[in-house]
Amino acid sequence: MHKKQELSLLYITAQYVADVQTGRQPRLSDYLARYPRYADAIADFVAYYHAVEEVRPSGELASAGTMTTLLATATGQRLTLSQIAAELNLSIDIVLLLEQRAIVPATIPHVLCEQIAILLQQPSAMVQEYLCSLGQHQPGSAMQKRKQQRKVAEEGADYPVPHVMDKLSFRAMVETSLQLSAEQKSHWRTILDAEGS
Amino acid sequence: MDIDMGVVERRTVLAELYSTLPPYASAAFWSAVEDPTLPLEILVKILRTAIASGDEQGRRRIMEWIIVRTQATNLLWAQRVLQMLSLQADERSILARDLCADLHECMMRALADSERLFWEENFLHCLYFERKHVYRSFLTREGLWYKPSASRGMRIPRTLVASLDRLLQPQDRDHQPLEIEDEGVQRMFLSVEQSDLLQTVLCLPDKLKAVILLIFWEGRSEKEAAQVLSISDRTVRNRLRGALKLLRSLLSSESEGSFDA
Repeated sequence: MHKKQELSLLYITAQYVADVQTGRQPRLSDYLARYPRYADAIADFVAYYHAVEEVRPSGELASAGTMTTLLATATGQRLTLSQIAAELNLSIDIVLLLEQRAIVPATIPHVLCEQIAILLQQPSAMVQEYLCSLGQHQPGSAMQKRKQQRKVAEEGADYPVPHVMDKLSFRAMVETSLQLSAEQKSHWRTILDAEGS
Repeated sequence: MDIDMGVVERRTVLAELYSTLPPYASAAFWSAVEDPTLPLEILVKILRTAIASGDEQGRRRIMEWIIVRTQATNLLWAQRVLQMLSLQADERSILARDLCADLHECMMRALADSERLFWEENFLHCLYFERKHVYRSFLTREGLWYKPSASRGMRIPRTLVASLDRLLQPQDRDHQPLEIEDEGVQRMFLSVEQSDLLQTVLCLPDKLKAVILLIFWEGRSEKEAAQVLSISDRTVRNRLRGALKLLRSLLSSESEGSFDA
């Protein structure tokens, strides 16, 4: 693809992503009809974006109309990664891992959950539920309910079930983070030791 | 194409931030550069300045910092990608490292290319494209992406090599091979969850993706899809048939476990 076309495609797809992220629910057909020259490339990107890159809130929390992600709560409060990191005395990489729920929930200090709850003005239980919500196979969870509602052709026997993502402990993340300062690491070590995590 | 106000605003903010940086290579400059809240777009611009001025040490320092700033999210991306594939846990961690290494290599090449200006405007979006490219190369290399014209390479897919080391285990419910006729494939397209459908679509050639997405993801009729894409109903049907045929071939090669190696 020519550089100029590549740039146009980047602008178009960036607009699509911005529409998704601001909750405008863009329609693929509108984009394809508006930019027919890039239809194949747009479709390719859109499929990839929604399959791989899009951070989706867990169905249960979203349907409850409460907290969607750490970055965008239901109250419409929007905080940047760096704002959250500064308020929580954490680094951006760890906030990102919390946002993606890639840290083993049981290893996250209670103090941190409380701080997040205060910062996001959400109940502490809600925050804990959010942090535990991905990749957990608890009875009655949204994932379980979704499974029960599956159509015949979606039965587990027909489709390979992806493995649960390997999660990391909060302490391991603190120790290996390259962005967390020595003081911050020491601060979190003290808290983890005090909580016996 | 139109450039909306958001883009203009973003450009202005970045330009203002860039102009407030302390003099290049001063202690205050490095302190500002290594502030984790400095937008990555600014770092790209600084990196390119370092390259243009032949400052090798500065180039390396900024490049390393960009990698540090993005490595956690890149690792998560790699894990997410691998989560979509049926792999053993040991393969997963090795492949995650491979994917990250490939991505960082591509990213460094792109960052050093001063003609790729969008990196200075929207870093994350450019990263999506780079990841998409790496993801596709990975699928092709591992024999999981269908492209008749692509040479699959001489390397034996790692998934296949790893399977030789594995003990022969009875197949569980999650790993049953699929035996699907054409009608069954179409029915599956109609009934799979959206996320599964998108993952399936990712394995198809670009030409066929739009039709499948419009019909099975957006719920359009064949006629509507034809109108949106300015093609005939017949072309839509042909592409649909082509997609179903490829999907069947992908599924059968998967069930044979050969990946054409």
